[in-house]
Amino acid sequence: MKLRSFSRFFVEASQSLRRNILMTIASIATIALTLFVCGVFSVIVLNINKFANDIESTVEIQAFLEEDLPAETASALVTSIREIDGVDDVTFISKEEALANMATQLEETPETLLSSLGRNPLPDSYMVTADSADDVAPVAEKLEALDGVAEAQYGDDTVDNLFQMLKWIRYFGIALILFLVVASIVIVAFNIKVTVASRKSEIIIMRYVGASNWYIRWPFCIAGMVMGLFGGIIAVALLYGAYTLFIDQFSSVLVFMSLVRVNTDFFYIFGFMLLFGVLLGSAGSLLSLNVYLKERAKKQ
Amino acid sequence: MKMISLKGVSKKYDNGQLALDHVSMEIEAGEFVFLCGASGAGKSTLIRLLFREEVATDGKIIVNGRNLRKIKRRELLRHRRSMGLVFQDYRLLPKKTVFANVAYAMEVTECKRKDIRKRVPEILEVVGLSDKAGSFPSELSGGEQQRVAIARALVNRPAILIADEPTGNLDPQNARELMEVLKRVNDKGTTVVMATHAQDIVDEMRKRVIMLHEGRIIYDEEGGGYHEIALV
Repeated sequence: MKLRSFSRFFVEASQSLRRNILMTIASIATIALTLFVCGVFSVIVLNINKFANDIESTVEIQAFLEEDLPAETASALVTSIREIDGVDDVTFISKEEALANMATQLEETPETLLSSLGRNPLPDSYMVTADSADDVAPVAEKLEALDGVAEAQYGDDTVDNLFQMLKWIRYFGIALILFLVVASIVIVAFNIKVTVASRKSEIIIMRYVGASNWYIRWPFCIAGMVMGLFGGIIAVALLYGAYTLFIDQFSSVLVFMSLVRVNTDFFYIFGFMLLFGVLLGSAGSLLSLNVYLKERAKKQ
Repeated sequence: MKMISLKGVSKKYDNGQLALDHVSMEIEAGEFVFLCGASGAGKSTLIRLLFREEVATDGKIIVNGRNLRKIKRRELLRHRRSMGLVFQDYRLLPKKTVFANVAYAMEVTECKRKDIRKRVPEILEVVGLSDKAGSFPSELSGGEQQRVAIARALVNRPAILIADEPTGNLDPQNARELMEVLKRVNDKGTTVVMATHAQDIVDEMRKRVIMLHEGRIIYDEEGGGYHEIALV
């Protein structure tokens, strides 16, 4: 395909877009809607990821020390714990502090608790926080392996359940996006097919005078790309507007989770939406045209 | 040199209809041939086979040195560009001027602008439409529109011009003028194959006539006429 043909393709593409302005608007709206929903889900997934990370990184691992561990050995353990990869913070909790904490939880005084229990059954422990959510399980494992540590605990079950749920939300989002992608390709293909049908005679003439299939395809493909790009721009603008508004209105209400601010991750999402719009538009037009060109070839 | 050669060519459509039945013929370069026969005789199928819109079910077709049953994609494009096609219904683009309609055929083959500007006026002169270059098809008579179609078919200097009932929509005067144009084109060396059932034109031109009936050639004669066919 020669370069000079492309200026002609662009002219033809813009002509056909303007000639079928309603169809063009419908296609752009469809693409915009699809991309917007994709964007919304990406943002939800982004927020869920952050939420999950926030939760997991605040999860504390409690490393209970063996009973009757000499005080020096116990305090020396802090160095070994700090050396573990992924450890963020380490705090020593003596058995007395542990008892005090327990008493507070039970709304009693340590003395009454101690007298009813006979002796302090709680061991010394280290409260360890991990750098990130992914580090929690391995850190706990390594803590348990240390000499002098009897057991390392963190709320595995609750956290695991939460993560299980978040995973399913993510899967659902991906499935919905896939469905919407297919739906919008079909709609764009259908729309372009109508355009193609309205230019049927022209396409037939092009073939008769010896135009290659790609020569026929390019103007439609460019038209599809332009529609996709416009749809993408609209979707990005909508998502940006809607999300900033959402943050303004709801970040004070949703106190239990901090929302992701518009950051670089967002620009990836925006870029992806634009690119995806262009791909969607061209895929739709090529699909409809291919069906058409094959149909023609068969009939002839 | 043989321009078109068919050996035992048959075409059976998917619906079982046998459109051509062991047709063999040869057309020399520079010949003017009428393809005659009633509707459904196989004329259009034959034209579609020559343009390679359809592939023969059986037999061998060689056009301009290309074996059409073994032709590759790239070659196919070249093959089609070596043929000019004209139809009964002109098939012009209504939103383009006469000049643009003719130039279109050169544009799709990616000719240089300079060449297009030079070549289109030349060919419009051949068909006698130099003064109509800026008109739109709707402003022209049927005869003029058909001459635009011929100009478009010829602009890329095809070796063969194939016309399918080109006079079908024209009055006798316009039809005669069109035949003059085709004759001029043929005199300059282009092979012309014209499918028609316009008896008076065939009789008047006295060119080679190939008569098809139910998918078979029943008559093939140099300088023949339509009236003689009736006796067959």
